[in-house]
Amino acid sequence: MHGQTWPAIGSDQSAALADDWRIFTYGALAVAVLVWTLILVAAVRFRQSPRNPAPRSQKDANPPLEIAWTIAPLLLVIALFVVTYRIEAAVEARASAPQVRVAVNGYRWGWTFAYANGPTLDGTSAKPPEMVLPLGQTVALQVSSSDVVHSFWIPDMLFKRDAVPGRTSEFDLTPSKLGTFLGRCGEFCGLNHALMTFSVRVVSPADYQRWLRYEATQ
Amino acid sequence: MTAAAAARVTPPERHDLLSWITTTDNKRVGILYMGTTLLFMAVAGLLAMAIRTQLARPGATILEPHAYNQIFTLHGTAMIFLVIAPFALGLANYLIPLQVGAPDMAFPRLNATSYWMFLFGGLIVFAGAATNEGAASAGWTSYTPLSEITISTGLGQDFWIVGLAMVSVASIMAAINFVTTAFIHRAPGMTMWRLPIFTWEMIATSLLIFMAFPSLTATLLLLFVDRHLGGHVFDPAFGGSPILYQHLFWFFGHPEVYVLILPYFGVVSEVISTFSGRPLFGYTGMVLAAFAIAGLSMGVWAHHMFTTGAVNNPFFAFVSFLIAVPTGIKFFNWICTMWGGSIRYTTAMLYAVGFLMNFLLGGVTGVMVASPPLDFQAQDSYFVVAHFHYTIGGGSFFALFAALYYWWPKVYGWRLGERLGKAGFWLTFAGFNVTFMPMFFMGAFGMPRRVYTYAAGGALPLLNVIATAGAFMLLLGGILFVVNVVVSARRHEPAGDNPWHGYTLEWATTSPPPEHNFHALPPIRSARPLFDVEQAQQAKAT
Amino acid sequence: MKTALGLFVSSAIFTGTIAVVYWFIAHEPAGTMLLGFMSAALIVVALYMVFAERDADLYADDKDATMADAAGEHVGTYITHSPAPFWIGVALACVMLGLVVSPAAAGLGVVALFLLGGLLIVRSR
Repeated sequence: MHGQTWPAIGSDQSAALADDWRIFTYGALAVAVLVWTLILVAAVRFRQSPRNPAPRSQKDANPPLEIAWTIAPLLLVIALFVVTYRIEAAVEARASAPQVRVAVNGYRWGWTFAYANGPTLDGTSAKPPEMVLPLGQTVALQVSSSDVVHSFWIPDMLFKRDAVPGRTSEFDLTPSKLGTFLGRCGEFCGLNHALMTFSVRVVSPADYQRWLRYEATQ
Repeated sequence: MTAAAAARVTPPERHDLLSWITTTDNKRVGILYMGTTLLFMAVAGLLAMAIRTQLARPGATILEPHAYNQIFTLHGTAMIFLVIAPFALGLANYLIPLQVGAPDMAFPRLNATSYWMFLFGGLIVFAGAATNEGAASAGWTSYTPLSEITISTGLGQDFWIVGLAMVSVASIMAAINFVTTAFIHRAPGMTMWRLPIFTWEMIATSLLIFMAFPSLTATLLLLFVDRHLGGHVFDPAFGGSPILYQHLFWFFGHPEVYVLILPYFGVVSEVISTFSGRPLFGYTGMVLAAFAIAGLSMGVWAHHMFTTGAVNNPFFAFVSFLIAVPTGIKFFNWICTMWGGSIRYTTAMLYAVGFLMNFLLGGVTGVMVASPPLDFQAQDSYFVVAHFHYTIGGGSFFALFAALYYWWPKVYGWRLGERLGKAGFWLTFAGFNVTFMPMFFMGAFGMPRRVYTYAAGGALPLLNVIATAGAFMLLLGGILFVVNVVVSARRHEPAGDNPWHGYTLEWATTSPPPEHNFHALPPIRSARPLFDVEQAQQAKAT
Repeated sequence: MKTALGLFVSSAIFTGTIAVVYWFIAHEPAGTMLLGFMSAALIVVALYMVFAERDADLYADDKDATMADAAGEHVGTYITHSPAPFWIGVALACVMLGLVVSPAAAGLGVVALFLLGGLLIVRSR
């Protein structure tokens, strides 16, 4: 099972999420390296020493510079917002006719997966449930909880959605990689929060149909 | 009044225990506050050591789940409510009257009351550990329905609620004092725009406390009503809403983290300015930025709720991104203060530069998690744990030590040793980064927060053991600080009135200051009164 | 006082504006009410400052004031010690614990507060 390492980016949505990660990580690192460099240059170059025994000036304002370092970050931040907005809209887009529907229910401490026109699977940490999904088809998930707030998290798909009692939260998932991916609860829910895992096994559409038929006989 | 005249009129200062219990003097209340927070810090730090020891290896059984849950709940609650915030309140207690040229706070009795309420509130929170089912164990955020009576059945949760209610009211009382003293009790010539930057940051912090803490008190009250008085405000089975709890809590919770950082921005500004020998660059911009941060921080609370699907993510993402702009302004101003200066690297200055290095990473990762798509992975994972430890730990905590080393000689009249101080700094800086840098990766790789264990496999075991090693380095750094205090107390190296060559009013009085803070005040014609005095003396000499 | 008043007024306008913008973007009642009441509270403080402190003329706000200008002015009496804060803390702790553990303790705390109040009134006469 894949998990606890570099995420596999296992869904169409997570490809867009990975873009967001890349843009923001490189952006953050670029800003950090620039400012760290400025800090270290200032810290080292202007140490008190025989060559630098006293401050060179008491100048404490430079209005054009101050305006520049207000406007530039503001523009950068607005650009980042546009990027974020577009990616979130793409990730949260819903298909009008999903091929698979699963109702997910979190509880202390396990998960129930109820497939529309399919089986209902249940499992706790002793035997975590496995959600089987077809590659390349859109899955509409509805997430809720029957007790406290949990969170349905698939790290390899860079996505989680909170399971809140009293409300149902919906989103689409389109698996793009074959494999078995680790799933976790992502909201502290008490004693066995750490053990509240599940797995997502992505198979070919043909294998998925086979699995559905098998489950129908159980 | 001259020193001699003051000595005739003022009764001698008492030093017995009763005088400390009944004191209303701003300096003593400040010392009580800061000393108490350092004790809470030691306890909360040891709790963290327990957490890191348990997490060093997958499947470890050093702590069983219920104990672990109490420990991280108390660690977070204590560090936020009983250490970082009240240390700043205590420091402000000590410094604001000195910095504005006042003999005491505007409401001395209210001031002391706030300390005792904070102390007893904090003790009540911890006293929950002695109850049947132990202390609160629903996290410092205490989300419902987890914290409702049906699930958190123990009294510990109630101790947490009432203890924090006292701390919340105490903080509001302290903020009232800071604002009133800064507005009304400034010395002649100390206009608002000549105030030291630390005092300005405390005014902004106090404004935040006024705006945010009432929501905390109300939320705690509502949670108590749900638990014991038949309420169902947050109970979905009866039409209540767990999401409402999150709105109410985070409306307080987000401004709270700016309460945790703004005072320390002020500390860093003072320290960098003094040890660079230059005035704070862009003083007006710094003040405006502080209020921009405070104001904007009221509008970002639901970025803690991005993964609920129940809030308007773009609105909160946009406002959260905006906060990066005034924060960036502050960074550029600090760098320009150092630029062209002649920097003396005392322990305090080292901690201030360490703050800059650490908080920068905390800040840019904050912009990262402000992007909802990124937050879908990072929320409730160790990525977020790393982010907030870099801001509060790498930031506030480092500035806290800068403040200790900087103002210690003023408070006690003797200095903390520089050799042990610097060794402690390097150990703490290295240990801090070794502990928290791996956590960014742990989170991205799928490790949730608030877990007592994790499975073997993947990168998590190695990353966790590295983090634990860093934690032991931090522990050593803490021990070095305590050793330094003891050794320096014995050595008792007299500090004099102005050991660091500072230019704000607290350095214009004795170390420690007399009971009414000043025997005499210099004329106040700028934000750096002692600099003006020095210039005038040099002009006279030539 | 102008700076201080400006602080409260601008904060009130700012939070009020965010409240309105937030309502139209998110239609979420809890946050809107919190922001709206926040703005109202700040307006209350600002109004107080306008009406009650309008004529406050502090030496502190005079750029060229000297210590001699304010000399001899009776600012107030700064007390240095009081038993009240500690006892308020103890009593409130009793009340809080009482809410949780036992009404008797809560009652004890309330009694302690009344005794303290009486003591302070007697001593101030």
